[in-house]
Amino acid sequence: MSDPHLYGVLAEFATAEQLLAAVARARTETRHAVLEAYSPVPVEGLVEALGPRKADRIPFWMLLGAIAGGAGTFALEWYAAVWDYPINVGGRPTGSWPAFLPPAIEMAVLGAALFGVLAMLISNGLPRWHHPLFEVESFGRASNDRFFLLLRAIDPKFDPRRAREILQTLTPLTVREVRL
Amino acid sequence: MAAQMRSEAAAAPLMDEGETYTSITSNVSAITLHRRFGRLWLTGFTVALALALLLAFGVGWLLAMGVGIWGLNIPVAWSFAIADYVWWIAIGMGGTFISAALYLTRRDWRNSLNRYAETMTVFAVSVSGIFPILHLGRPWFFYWLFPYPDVMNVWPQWRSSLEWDFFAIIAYLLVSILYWYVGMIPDLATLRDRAPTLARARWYGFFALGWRGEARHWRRFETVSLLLAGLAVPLVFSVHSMVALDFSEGLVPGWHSTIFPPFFVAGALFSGFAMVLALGIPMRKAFHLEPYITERHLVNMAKMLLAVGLVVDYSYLSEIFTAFYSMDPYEVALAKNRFFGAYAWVFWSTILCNVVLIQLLWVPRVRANPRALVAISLGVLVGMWLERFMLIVTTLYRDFVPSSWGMFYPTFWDIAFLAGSMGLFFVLYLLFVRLVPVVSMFELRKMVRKRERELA
Amino acid sequence: MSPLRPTPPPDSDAVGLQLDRRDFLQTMAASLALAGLTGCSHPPQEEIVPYVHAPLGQIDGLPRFFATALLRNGYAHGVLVENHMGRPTKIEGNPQHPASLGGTDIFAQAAVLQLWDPDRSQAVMRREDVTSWEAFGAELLKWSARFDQTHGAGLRVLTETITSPTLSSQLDALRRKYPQAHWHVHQPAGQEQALAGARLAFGEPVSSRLHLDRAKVILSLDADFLSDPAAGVRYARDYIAGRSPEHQGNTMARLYVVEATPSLTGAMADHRLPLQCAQIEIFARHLARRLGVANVVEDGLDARQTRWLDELTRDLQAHRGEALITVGPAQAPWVHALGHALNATLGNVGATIEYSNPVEALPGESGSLADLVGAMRAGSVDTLLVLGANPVYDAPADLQFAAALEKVPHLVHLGLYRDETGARAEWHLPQAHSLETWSDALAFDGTATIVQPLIAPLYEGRSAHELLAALLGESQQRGREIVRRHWQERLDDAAWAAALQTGVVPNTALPTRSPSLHGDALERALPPLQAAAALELLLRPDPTIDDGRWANNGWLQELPKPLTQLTWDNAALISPELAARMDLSNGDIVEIRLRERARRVPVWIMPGQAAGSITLHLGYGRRRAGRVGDGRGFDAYPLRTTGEPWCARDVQLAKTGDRYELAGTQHHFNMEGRDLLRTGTLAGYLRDPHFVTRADRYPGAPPSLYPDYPPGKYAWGMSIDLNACIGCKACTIACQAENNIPVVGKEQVRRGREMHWIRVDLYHEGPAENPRTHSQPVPCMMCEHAPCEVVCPVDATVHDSEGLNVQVYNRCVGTRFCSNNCPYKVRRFNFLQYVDKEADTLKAQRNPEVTVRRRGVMEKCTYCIQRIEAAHIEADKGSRRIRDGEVLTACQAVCPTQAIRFGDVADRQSAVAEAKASPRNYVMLGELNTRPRTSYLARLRNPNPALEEKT
Repeated sequence: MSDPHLYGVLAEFATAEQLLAAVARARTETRHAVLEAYSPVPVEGLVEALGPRKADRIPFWMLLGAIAGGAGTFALEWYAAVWDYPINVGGRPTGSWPAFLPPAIEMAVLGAALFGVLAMLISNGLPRWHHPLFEVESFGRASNDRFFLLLRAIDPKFDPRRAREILQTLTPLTVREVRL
Repeated sequence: MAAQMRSEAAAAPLMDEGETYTSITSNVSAITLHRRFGRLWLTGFTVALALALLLAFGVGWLLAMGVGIWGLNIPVAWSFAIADYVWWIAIGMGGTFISAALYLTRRDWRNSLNRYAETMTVFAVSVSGIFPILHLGRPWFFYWLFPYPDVMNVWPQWRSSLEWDFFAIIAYLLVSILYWYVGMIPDLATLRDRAPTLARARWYGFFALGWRGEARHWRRFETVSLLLAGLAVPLVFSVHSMVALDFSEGLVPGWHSTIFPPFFVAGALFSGFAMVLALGIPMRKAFHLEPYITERHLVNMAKMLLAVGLVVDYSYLSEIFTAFYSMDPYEVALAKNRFFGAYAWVFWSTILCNVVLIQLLWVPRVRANPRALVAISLGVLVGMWLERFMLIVTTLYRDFVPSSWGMFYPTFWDIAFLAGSMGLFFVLYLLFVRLVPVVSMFELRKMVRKRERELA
Repeated sequence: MSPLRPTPPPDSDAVGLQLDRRDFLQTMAASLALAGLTGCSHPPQEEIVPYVHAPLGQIDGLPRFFATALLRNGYAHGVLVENHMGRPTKIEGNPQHPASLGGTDIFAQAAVLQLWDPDRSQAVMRREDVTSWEAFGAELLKWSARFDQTHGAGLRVLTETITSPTLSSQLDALRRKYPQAHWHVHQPAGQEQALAGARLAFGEPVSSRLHLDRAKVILSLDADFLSDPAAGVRYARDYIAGRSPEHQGNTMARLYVVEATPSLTGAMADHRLPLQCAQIEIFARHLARRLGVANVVEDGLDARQTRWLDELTRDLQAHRGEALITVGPAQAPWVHALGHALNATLGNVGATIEYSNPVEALPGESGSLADLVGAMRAGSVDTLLVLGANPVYDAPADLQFAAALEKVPHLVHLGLYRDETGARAEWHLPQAHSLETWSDALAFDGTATIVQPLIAPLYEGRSAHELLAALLGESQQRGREIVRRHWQERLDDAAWAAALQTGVVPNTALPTRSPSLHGDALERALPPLQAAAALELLLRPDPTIDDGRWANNGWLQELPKPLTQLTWDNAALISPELAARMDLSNGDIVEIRLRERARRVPVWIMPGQAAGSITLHLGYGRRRAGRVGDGRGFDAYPLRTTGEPWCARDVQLAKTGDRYELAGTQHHFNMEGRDLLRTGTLAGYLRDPHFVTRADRYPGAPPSLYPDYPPGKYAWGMSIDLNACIGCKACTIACQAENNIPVVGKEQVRRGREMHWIRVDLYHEGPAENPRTHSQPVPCMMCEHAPCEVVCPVDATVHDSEGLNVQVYNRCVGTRFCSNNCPYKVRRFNFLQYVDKEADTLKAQRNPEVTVRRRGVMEKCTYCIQRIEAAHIEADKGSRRIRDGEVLTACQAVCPTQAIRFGDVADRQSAVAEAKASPRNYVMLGELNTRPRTSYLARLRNPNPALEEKT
């Protein structure tokens, strides 16, 4: 690759529609695979437009968290009340499983929530307090009212000059190089 | 009446046509970033802080002397502190429910309410949490309810509803904090990007975790938000059912009742909605949020308040009915005691607030009148506290054995802790309105985006 | 306590002191704060003899029991004192003592707290200066030198009622040595009227002895024989023996009570007639006339009373020789005389009532307090020796004793406390406690007990014996030697040891005799009838602090008064009618005016109180009782006169409009139609033995979803016979003593935070003018399906294999859900730090076998688990099972009527299982399916069919 310090080329758009169009063009014209799109709101269809991706595992992890929390708690209760310290409480059986359910349920919900949030953050690569895009001054509006398309330099088909040309044709507000 | 409601709902858009991404972002973030402290805020904060300090002093005194500084006795071994606890955690429920249930049902009008509703939840639950602990005879051993291999080789006693509730509170506190915080990340990013000083940019940047709004991030964010909402709703029901079981697991007439869980959940939403209104309307005025929290929002909230209020009233009715229908002498005696006993005034005030007062909400003009709504909400909040007091004290002060009947009289500290807990809540809440956006910017932006697509 | 730091008693040698200090520190293993105590708490030097086994060496940690006697109004109550490493900690009754038979009254239980009371007098005081016995001895020498010339002129000795043979012989010796000296007796609640009555009837004073177990029909004229100071415990046992249908061939004695103010005896009555004190006299005359004893003027009773009287008369006549008429100490002498005559005509003498020479030593002519005060006024008293009495506080007001004291140069006061009298004395001498002294005393029937000390005097206390010996200038001045010498010819060393061991001197009961009636004397004695006044004031000793001597005893102050459940105060008991008429409610302050004297006191509405009678209990309003008792309640003595010591006529009552907060432990006395306390009549019981459980929804326990736990080695359970319970509350205070239950004080009681583990509930049934009154002791029910356990989040209350619902103090975090969920409300919570962590002597009193609970934990009845464990250890040593009756709970052991049975319910042979097999057996709130191990036997009445009101 030519310039090792080049992270990618960033185009800024005024509307989501322009962004969507830009993404489509970028992929059809240049067969560009590694693109990233930034927006102040989730834009429907954008992810699909950016190209094939492997499905999110978040629901799976949350299920796992629920099972871990619920089954784990129930197992602990059973162990504590039936094996480790069985004792006559109010004449109730030591393994009074219906009474063991409520804590298990609560812990299942907690487990699911924790795993879900962690899965989301990790698969999003967050937290990440430093990012080349933060160096781009106009990028601040990505959290306000502007839409951005980034062609990553690591893409084998990436060619800075060509990339600029294409992006220019998409009536962007600005086109910048993002440097590491 | 119903038809008229529908027409009402159809009217008045949820957001002004003129609103754009830019306007929303700048208006809302300005409240946090650029607004000066108003005199109103300062006075409010001072009062709240004073009450919070009273609470702090009370806690010290309690730890030094013991729970005997309250008016507790045998037979009335629970009273104010537990009523306060139930009251606060119930208020929390309302916030989660509004945010999550309406999200699942795609009710866009929750978008301008959910942020401060969730915040209210987090603070209310935190405040409520201190009561069960301080209420212990030996508060410093509260962690014995947590299962860990301790030196006595003893575990918690899993059949106790107090144990269940311990887990419920922990789960609920953590989940609602997660739900609240995750939902705030994009807005924190906005504040980061708009912060006037580097220091504040760093501050918000830290909590924004480096959010950039990349499309795939948004997708996962949406997924997890949806699923969290899906968890939050059953959580609300289960947690407050646990609270109900704190009583109905007992065999005391007045507690030993299968209706309690649903009845308590309804009560929780009831007081929760009331608090959302009571907080939202003044805030809306103070921060000029009328464009986002419109009259239609208030009307919708009022309708929900009425609806859930009617469920509560129904539970009152069915409770009284079952008492007499059962012909159980103790249940009947208790019911009569509530009507005519020493604490009859509490019962009738409860009825006044929670049954009579809310009937005003049938009137459209009332529903549309912010002042009236605040008044009614405050009435409901008072009523719900009294209801909890009634459920606890009128049950305990006269149970099975007449020789052991005895009255409860609150002490100064009973009242101080209640007032102090309010102080603590408002300290937290007033700080919140200064530090984070009181309405969710990105969710309002989503509404703009939605409108764009409808036009396109 | 440097000035008060006690020097060891003169007879204690250094070695002993060392040893004892070591023992003591072993026992206490406690704070340095005890240093002050260690020097002065040790076993007595002389050989004392334990009750059970011969005195081997002290086995560390094992309690030993010693037999001795505690005095009430001078009469001996045989007790066994539990002694932990030289510390008396608990009192039990002495089964071999006729006045006890194993039970005790509340005062005996409280004696141990009195022993350790830090407010006790600790040093010899001359006026306000602390001085020494030596100094007093020197002074005494000067005096006796003077008395030797004057033959004791001006020397007066004032004592309370005395039964001690040694002491009375010492007093005789004194009077022999000093013929001019005088001995006076002052007992605020004594037997003067009864003795005077005997003089009227027989021309000589005699003591009566009741045999309630032999009586089929009993009439009490204002006689509360169940709380008789001398024999109440024994009388209760005898009375109940005659009331148990199972053991009496399906018969029960019938009790008629005529009284002005409700009493324990009245509460037990099958028929109770509330009459003013004055009307009781009229009633007695009518009865006398009907039975042809004395021919007295007829005077109107109303129709109901007449009918009552007719049926009573019929019943009495139908039971000649097995009837009994007993008259209360408050009644006029001639009423007592009538009583004797009636018993004679009914042929009861020798059967249900016996006479003997007076048990108490009588001072003879002019031996009364009034005589003393007369002499004091006349200035003829130079030196007054007050032994134990407290006349400055409790003398009748009209004597103005305090004023008369001005004329007495030398007042010497020997007392447990530096009380009102001690404070006025020139010399105050600390008296040794009964548990610290050698002495002797007689029971109600004359049976003698040698009083042996359990511990050397904690402070500088000495006994009356030692003081008199010093006054007599005798060579031997040590308590033991004085007593031993008195019994020298009667008891050789072996017999002496045996007497000490068993706590009774065999065959010392006074022989019974049948004195002849002076009928005509009686006729002449009858005063002209006085019409009953509209309002009369009854003065009675307080149910829990007696005549005031127990005012500084926290246990007794906090023990709910049996018939009002009030604590820490006295109140004027008024009838519901009077309350309605004057629009008074509980706690209203009224002014009671008796001629020129008046007192402001709060009122308490007492169901069953005679309409025109106001009852005010003596003993409160102490000024020098100690930190606990000072200023509590209202002093009634200012309303007491020598003329009308018990019943003052024509008093005025005025409402003041002020209020006073009374602290009661029970506020609702109506059972609200619930079947918690079940009663029936003997007839009904014989008709349908199972009437008690007829109405129950389930026969036995309701079905349960839960499989039963495998039975443990024992299944502990308790049965409480409501037919035997007289509501005396000895169980409550015995439990308090055994289980280190703290005293919480009036304010906390008002908040509803009293700590008693076993309470005695009180319910009234029927019209407020004359209700039926029932008592129900309520300990922990030890539910097999305990509601308290299920709701505890930390396993702090759980079941053990023997069915005990145990409370684990160190695990308790104090959620209090268990208490809310206890249907019987027997759980108690330490809302604040109730246990006194400072006072060393109180620490020394506590039972080392029982944990002292701190603030923030729940506590409750444990069935005295420490005693069960002790029995386990004993049984394991012999590798045998625990025998039935080997474990006695504190409440069971103390119960005068043995209403409480405890043991292994799984063992069919056990007493408790036998009791539970009775058709009268039921459990409280059985329909809740808590499956209590504590069950009750229903109460039975035996009403006269002709009088039974149809209700």
